[in-house]
Amino acid sequence: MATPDPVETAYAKHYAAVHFIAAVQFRIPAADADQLVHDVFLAFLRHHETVGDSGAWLVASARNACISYWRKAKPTEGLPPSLPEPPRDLNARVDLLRILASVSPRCRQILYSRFVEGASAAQIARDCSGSTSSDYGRRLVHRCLTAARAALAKKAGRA
Amino acid sequence: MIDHPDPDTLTRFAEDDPSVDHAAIAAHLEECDTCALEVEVAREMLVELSRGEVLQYLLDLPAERQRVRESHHYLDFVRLCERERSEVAAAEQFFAVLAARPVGEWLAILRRSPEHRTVSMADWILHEAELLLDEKPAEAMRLIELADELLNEVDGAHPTLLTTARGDVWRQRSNAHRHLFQLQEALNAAILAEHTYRQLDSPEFAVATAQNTRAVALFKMTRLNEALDLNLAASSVLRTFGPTRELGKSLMFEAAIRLEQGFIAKAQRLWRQALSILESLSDSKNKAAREIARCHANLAECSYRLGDYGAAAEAAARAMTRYRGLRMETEAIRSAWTRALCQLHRGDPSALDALDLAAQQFEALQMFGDAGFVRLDITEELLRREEWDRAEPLARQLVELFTRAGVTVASVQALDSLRQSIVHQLATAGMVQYIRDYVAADDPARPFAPPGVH
Repeated sequence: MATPDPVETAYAKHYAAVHFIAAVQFRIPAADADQLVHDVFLAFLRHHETVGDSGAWLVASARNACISYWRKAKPTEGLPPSLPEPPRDLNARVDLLRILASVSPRCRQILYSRFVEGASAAQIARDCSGSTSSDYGRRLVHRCLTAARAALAKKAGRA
Repeated sequence: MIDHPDPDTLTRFAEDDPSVDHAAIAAHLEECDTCALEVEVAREMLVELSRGEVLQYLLDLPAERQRVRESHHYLDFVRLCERERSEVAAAEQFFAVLAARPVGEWLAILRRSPEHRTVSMADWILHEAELLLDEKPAEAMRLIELADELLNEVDGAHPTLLTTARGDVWRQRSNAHRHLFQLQEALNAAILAEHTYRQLDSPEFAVATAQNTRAVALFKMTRLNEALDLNLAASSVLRTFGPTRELGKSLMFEAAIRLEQGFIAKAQRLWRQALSILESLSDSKNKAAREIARCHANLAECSYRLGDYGAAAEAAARAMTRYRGLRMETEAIRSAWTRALCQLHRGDPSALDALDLAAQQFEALQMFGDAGFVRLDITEELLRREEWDRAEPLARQLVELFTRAGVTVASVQALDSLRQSIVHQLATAGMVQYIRDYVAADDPARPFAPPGVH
């Protein structure tokens, strides 16, 4: 069986995080964000043999590329106040992104309904199974949080 | 006090779930930092979740992935990866053909084979040059120039890959100049590497590696503070990229400076950090093998200087094995020397034989200076034991060895004075140390004065 190409594997695994940094965190316009992500992966193609953690390398490279993008876009002005976010916060968000990417789409939908849309436990239970039990809804939310939490613990080497 | 609540209960507490006993858990958290931390982590996650954009992004991701798979950027990238793979394989194969011919013919051969005029082939030649840097820097420089000429004739390479390769050429050129003691040229080449990398869209990583190359040149020019400042700045950039070979090398360089400054414990910590990073890399082509061997050798040196002879002997043995695997015989003998000195300090009766073997191996490689210093160590030990009969012929040998090594006449006089002192049974171990320092400095401007005469 052929060994999977490490660069293509990294692309599949970390595309979401790199694109998230460009498109969401640094609010780079869609067409430019695609080009920027492409450039980051090209740089990775050149350096991947010496890299130990492809995710960390790509995140750092994406962040630098985004800062450069805004510097070049507005060469005579400082960066807009909302850009870029502090790296610590950015890293936490990217970590969370990676963690949530590993929970099921159903769980992501449940967490989104609960924490973003503010749906009640009873509403979640109704949307998911037609039940009206708020206890069931709470259990669903809890189960999804536990899955996310387990992924977080695994990432931190505590699993 | 209640027992530690299970993780489920702590998560429910963080979620304000009414089904858990809030008062009891809150009281427990007052007393238990571990559980308090668990709750804090869970709450931080809840705050992040409530911001929504992360989840929104993930919900949109399947459609986004599909869009990307169909985008020309992705298709370009996949094509580029495929091309890169086939070029690397072809370069590896064709390099064997080149290696069988004199270097002077390589460019002509490559000109007749346009399919092999690729960035990957230039990389391969640069890698070979890197392997030659220590022992044959002039030959390494020849290969670097060849790689540079080749890059000028590469057709259709992606600009990012081509620019990075050009920067790599300047960086290796700086290394070669440095090994040839052309230090100003080394500095200039490192600056040009940095300028070249800065043309990239995402240059920070490559620029930091060029800054380290410049730092090494500054170090060799004895501009220690500038070298250290630049190295620390480069390390802090490289650190943000996670573990990489470049970060490992950057820490190794700082460790070497700290060792030179006499901060042994600090140097030891840095060598350990570097080793741990280098060993964590998957490194399928074993490109960090030399650096790993160097880390073990230097860890042996640090432990030795700190008086931990057991740890030093173990690290030296690991370095020897690694160096022998890499066919770096000179370095393997140096580690064997360190290990023999550790044996000596631990009272191992085989230590003198091990030192003698190291000296013989250096002599077999015509490295008379190194052989002489090993024999000086043996002489020192024999004087400590007052074995005059064994020390005297050895002292005669020292004069001969260092003469063959080409030291100054004053150094030879110093060694002869040691021999005479041994003949008259007046020499001491301290005198050997004095003579060793004098010969190691080998300063033509400093005439020899016996110990105590200034």
